[in-house]
Parts: sequence; structure tokens; C-alpha cells
Amino acid sequence: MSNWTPFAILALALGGAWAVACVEQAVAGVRVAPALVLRRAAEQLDQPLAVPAGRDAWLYHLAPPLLLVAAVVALATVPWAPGFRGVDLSTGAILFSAALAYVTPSVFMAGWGAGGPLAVLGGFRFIALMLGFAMPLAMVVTAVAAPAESLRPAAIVEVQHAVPMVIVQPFAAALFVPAAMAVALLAPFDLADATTELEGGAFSRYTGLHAGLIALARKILVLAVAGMTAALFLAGWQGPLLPPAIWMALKTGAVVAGMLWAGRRLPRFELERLLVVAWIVAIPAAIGVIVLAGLITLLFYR
Amino acid sequence: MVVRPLRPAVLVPDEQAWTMAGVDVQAAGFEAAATPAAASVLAGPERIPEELASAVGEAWELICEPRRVEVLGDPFAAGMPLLEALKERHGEHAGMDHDEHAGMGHDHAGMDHGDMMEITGEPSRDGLVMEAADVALGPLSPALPTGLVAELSLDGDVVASCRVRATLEARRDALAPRAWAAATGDLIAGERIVAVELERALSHAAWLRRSAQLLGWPLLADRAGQAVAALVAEAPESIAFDAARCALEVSRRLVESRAFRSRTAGRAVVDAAGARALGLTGPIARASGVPEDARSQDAAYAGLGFEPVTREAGDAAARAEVRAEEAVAAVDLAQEALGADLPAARRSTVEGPRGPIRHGTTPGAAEAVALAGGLVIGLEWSAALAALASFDLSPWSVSAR
Repeated sequence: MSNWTPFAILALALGGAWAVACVEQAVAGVRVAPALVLRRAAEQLDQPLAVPAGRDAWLYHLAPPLLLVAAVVALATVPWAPGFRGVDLSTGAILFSAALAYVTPSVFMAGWGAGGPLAVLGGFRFIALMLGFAMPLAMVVTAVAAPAESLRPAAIVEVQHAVPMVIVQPFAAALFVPAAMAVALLAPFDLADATTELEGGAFSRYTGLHAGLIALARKILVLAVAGMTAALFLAGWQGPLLPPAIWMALKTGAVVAGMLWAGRRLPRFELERLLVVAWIVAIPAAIGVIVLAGLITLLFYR
Repeated sequence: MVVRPLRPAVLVPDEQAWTMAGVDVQAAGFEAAATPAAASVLAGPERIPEELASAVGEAWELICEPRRVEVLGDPFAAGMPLLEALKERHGEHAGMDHDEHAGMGHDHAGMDHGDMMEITGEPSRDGLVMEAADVALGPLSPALPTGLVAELSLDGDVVASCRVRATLEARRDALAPRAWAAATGDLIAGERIVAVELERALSHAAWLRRSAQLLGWPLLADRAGQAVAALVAEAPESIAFDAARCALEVSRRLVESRAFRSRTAGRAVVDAAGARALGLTGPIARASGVPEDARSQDAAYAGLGFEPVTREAGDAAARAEVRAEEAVAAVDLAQEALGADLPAARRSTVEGPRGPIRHGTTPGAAEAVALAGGLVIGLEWSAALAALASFDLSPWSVSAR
């Protein structure tokens, strides 16, 4: 990690968020207007801040920056190319899960701090959702790290030089992607801010800079989980002919588009049904995936 | 397909009412914002019902600057001028015109709208001491038709009490203007059937779109929107019937889907005896197995082989199924009626999208509004909203109470 790494990550976060917004437009079937994304953002920043009347207003003000920090830290752990591995820690995969863990309190703080019952309901819904899905997410990260015998994301990318992890551990990918979409507040897991159903839910009260920070954080979150999906399961930067960074960008873009595409084509899940799936299916399945990963490691990676 | 990103707007009235007035709000570049705080535009009519003036003024106050007013038409052709209503509320900030920004303080923008929380500390049904929260939706909520208010008490995410009421005085139904005109006007049979059936198809398509939006299913909301776009035409001859039928068939996947049925099957049940006793009409009654339909007594409809669509279950899913099936049948009836030689009988009772319209009244409409709230008690929030939507209530022809 060089002195320039923080600046590179910030540039990646801003540029990536803009790119995610453009992909969002394309997936929604509207004409992609890159300049419009920036103009809308500028308009939003021009708005005054909303100030809640409740006594927990500090939670309301703290939630957007916390969400942004969590998203940027998660993004920083993603290895983008051999020469740009972000925060290249030996426990980077765990740091990724740990950073995502801070999304839950920030969403709840946003809903609770706003004080409206539908905003609070949105916050509670997200806590319930993430109690069920945070564990499979972290467990799957451990499972895909086993063949690499390292929790360093770059090492997990390198161990996929022959076969991508999505082929070696398809069940792990099947568990990781929905959990990643849930933590990134993407449809059909958008229970916290269901637009029509909760009138915007946990984030409904934000305006101006707050709303801008949340919109930015959400797009960075999408980029982070898509980037990590590409790194953990699609062999990251590895691929023939093209430069490594291009491969990583293409794979991340495809994952972002796929996640957003799925969100448009599926109805919002019911919380009760999701919790049943999480606690009865996903968590036991994640334990099974870890056991399977151990066997695969012993048989094929030693 | 929409060709440009839509702008979140406070829509007055809601998208369905604009659709029924023949205005495609999305083609104008707007979509309903979740809250006024998320909007930058107030898209409204030239004149609004006086009863909405206060709510519109409140919503305008909560829209952040830079903001503007967009006048999309004059569907009510009566009432208070929209700009005057806004000026009246904020006299010191007079001078708002189309596309003109108005200056107002916003230290509380986004707050105090609709759903203020009040912890009442009522005990829960399951014996646990829970804090109940009071929620008021409407009269300008994206989850309800404009003019309708739902006052709910939530026990966690379960509805502990609910009261639905209209805030408008009874007038020509903005959600069924052509059926209303056909009941009070002097149309010959063919024209009447085409007008009323196209309106039924349009109304049910708009309902499917709203339900898909409520369910968070953009794909089917877009498909229902395509049906709406195909049916919104000035002349019946220019309607693309096949495109409308095709889009409606795809949209029907909504009511058949597991996600929709899990929220609606067995919920908010009205049995046949109850429907008869309360005098319910339209799809609500027909979903309960009461085959009453003003079209059954109409010789012109008999000539087209009309059969009422009914179900027995009487639940929210059955009401949705009736509406989805009626939408396709209405397109077929309208297309057949266009070229048919029908008896020239005139009728004073017309079966509108929500039930009969007779001498400027809508029997059963007020009863449905009064009934709906009580039937969602005990349901989880998303199921309660889906069940409320299944009644497809119209506040326009029901007196405020």
C-alpha cells in the first residue's frame, strides 16, 4: 500500500459510483445520460438539510457518513489488479465482511434517527434481514479462502488461475451473491427502503448532502460487493489477452449489471420468507459449504 | 419503453387518476416520489379540488429547493387554481409560476409529513409489551389513491387498527370519467360499450401497474405500463388492441405469482353473504361469488356474449384475479363492439371499473371504503397494503367522513 492508495481508492469510489449509476439507467431500459447523473447529484447537494425533531437526531446525522465509510472500506479491500490491490491485508477478506457489518447499524440509525414509524420499520427490517444473512456472507468468504490457505483477497484471486471458484464452489457463490445483494440494499432485498411500500423507509427523510452521501455510499457498496464477487468467484483480474485491470472491470461490470437486472425482474421478497430461508437453509448450507471447501482443499489444492 | 430517466415528483392527483384522464405522466417525464422530500417537482392539474388544497400546500412546503410546479392539464375542469392554492398557503412567497422556483425555508424539510410516530405503549396481541406506532397515510401517499386517508396503528410491523376514509366530497369520479359520462350522457350502445370497456381495461391495467410498484416488481410495472400506453388513445380506432391484450396477459403474471399470492391469498376475506349484506358491488362483490353486474341486464352486452367474471374465495387474491381477467375481457369486448351492429338501447346504469354508476351515484363505493380498513387488521405491513390495494378504492365519488 503506497501513499497514493487512499487517493486511488477515493477516485475509484467516485468514478465507480458514477459508472454504477449509468449501468442502473441502462438496466432500467432508459437512455443512458452520464451527464444527468452528475447534474442530479449537484442539484441534490444544493438542497438544504432536513433536521429531525426527535431527540436522537445525532443518529440521523451520523448514519450517512458511517454508511459511506463502511462502503469505502469494503471497496478498499477489493483487489483490482496485481499492481493495485487496495488495502492488501493478510486478513482482507475478513476486513471486507467487518466493513459490511457496519452497514446494518448505519441503516438502523438512519431509520431510528428520522423518527417516522415507517422509517423505523425500515431500520428494523434491515436488522432482521442482516441478522440472517451476515453470517452466511462471512462463512462463505472463509470457505473460498480455504483453497488459497489465505484470507488475503489477492491470494484468493491467484489460486483461481486454473479454475474460477464459481465452478469449484458453486454453492458458495449461490449463497454469497444474494447475501451480498441484501447487504448492498439491492432489490429484491430492498426491504429497508421499499419505495412505495414504506414511502422510502429508513432513508425517506434525508435531503441535500445527507441524501447525496447515502446515494453515493449505496453505489459504492454495489461496486464493492460486485468487485469482491468477481475477485472471490470469477478469478478477479485473471484472463487472457486483455490487461488484468480490464478483466476485473469487465467482470465487476457484469456482476453489477446482473445484480441490478435481477432486481428489476424479481418482486421484493417478504421478510418472513427471507428469514426462514436465511436461518433454516442459508446458515446450515454455509456450514456445509465450509466442510466441502475443506474437502476440496485437501483433495485438489495440496 | 421510457427513453429518459424519470424525475421524482409529487403527483397531484396520483398516476392512476392522470392515466384515467388520458395523460401519461411517465411520458411527461415524471414518476411518483416516495416522499415530497425526495421530489423536486410538483406535477399537478390547473385546478384542484378545494379539499386537497391544504395537503398540496403541505407537500409543496416539504419539497426542497430548487423546485418547480408543472401543470400537466386540467382533468377536473373545476376547483381551486393550483397556483392560487400554493400562493394562499405561502402568501409571503407569492409569485410562483410554471417552471419558476419559489423560495421557502427548509429547516424541517421532509419532516412532519404524513406518518408521524407516536408511541402509545399498547400491549401486543402475543402478550409481549410492545410499543405501538400510529401511522397516517394520505391523502397524497404513493401507496394510496389521492384523496384517500388510512389511519393505522402498528404493533411492530403488524396492523393493530386501521381506518380508511375519503377526504373528498362526492363528485364526478376522476378514476372513471368515461363510465360516469356514459351513465349521465346520451351515448348509443356501441359507443357506450367501447368507451366503458376501454376505461375498464385502462383502469385495471393502471391498477396492475400500481400493484406491481407496491410489490417492488419493476418488470411487471413496466409491462402494465405498456398496456396503459396502448390503451390511452383519443380515438378507439387508433388503439393497438393486440399490443394491449399482449401486455395485459403478461401483467397477469403478477396476480398469479407466488410473491403476490403469499401477501393476498386468504387475506381480507369478504364472503358472499357479507358482500350482499353490505351492498358491495363491482369486482369486490364478484370476487366473493356474487355475479351481479349491470352488464348482465344489457341486451347489447348479451349480443357480444358477455359473461361476468367471478371467483368464490372473496379474498384479496380473488379480487386481483377478477380484475386481471376482466381487463383482458374488456379489451375483447371493446374490439368486438367497435365493428358490431348493436341494439340502440340507452341505459342509465353503467357498470364502471369499480361497480355500477347510476344517476350520478356509485352504490357500494362508500361501503367498500368503510369496510376495507377493518379487514387488514392483523396483517403484516406489506400484506396489509396489498390487501388494501385489492379493493381498488376510489375516494372521488364517496363523501368525506
